[in-house]
Amino acid sequence: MKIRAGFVSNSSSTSFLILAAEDLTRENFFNLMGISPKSPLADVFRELHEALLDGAGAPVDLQKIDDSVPVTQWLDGFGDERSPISPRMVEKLQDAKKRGLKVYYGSLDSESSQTETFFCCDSFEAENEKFYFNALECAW
Amino acid sequence: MIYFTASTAVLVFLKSQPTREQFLRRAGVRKNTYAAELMNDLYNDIFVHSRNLREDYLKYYKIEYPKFSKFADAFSSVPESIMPRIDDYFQSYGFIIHFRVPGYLEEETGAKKLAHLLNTKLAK
Repeated sequence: MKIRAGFVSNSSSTSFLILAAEDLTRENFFNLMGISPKSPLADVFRELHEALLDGAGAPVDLQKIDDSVPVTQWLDGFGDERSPISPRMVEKLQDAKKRGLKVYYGSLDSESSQTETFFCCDSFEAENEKFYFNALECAW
Repeated sequence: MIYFTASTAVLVFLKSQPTREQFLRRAGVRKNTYAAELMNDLYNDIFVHSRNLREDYLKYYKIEYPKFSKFADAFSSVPESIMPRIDDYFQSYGFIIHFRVPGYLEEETGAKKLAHLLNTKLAK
């Protein structure tokens, strides 16, 4: 038998979804988050931006999805039991499809860097005229 | 001046407390955004929810401990390396704050960012 002394914790991941009218460049991301590139915290947001792009992969063009497919099946892993989509998000996605927006989606992981872990455990949303960023939905 | 007391906690010595506006300006965040919310939370962590050890000492412990260093010695989070200078610091700094840093400010790189935000230096 092995005995472990100290903390034992499980890992977590937070799903995120970004509706985008443009590519999620670093400049666009900084603008969305409200951080200056000259801020002492610019590195932190640069790391978050990279983690989001790594976690998301290529954005999904919603206009290419057949209209007969239900919203809960538009994005792999979103809408299932582990990561349900709220009625508000369903509305946002339907509206985004009409507007021809793209979707970046994926998850942040608590077992990577301290910065990613922090944002993984935080719950927030951000919006401007070009993007809507939802990091509210959390799955343990 | 900022000292690590653990990889996730720091002891900050400041002559004066920056206003929230000064702090947000130094952080380079825009009002009503997520980054501003994050910096407002950090400001609260440091200046609203944390204890100013200097103030605590003067208010509650001065009779029990004739010198601040005796009080600091009893406060286990103060690193030994600071102890020879702490009575001088007590005279020079109005704010001696111990607090746990958020994940994005951990370790030395994070402490450097915090020092920038507080317009002070990271102690060597």
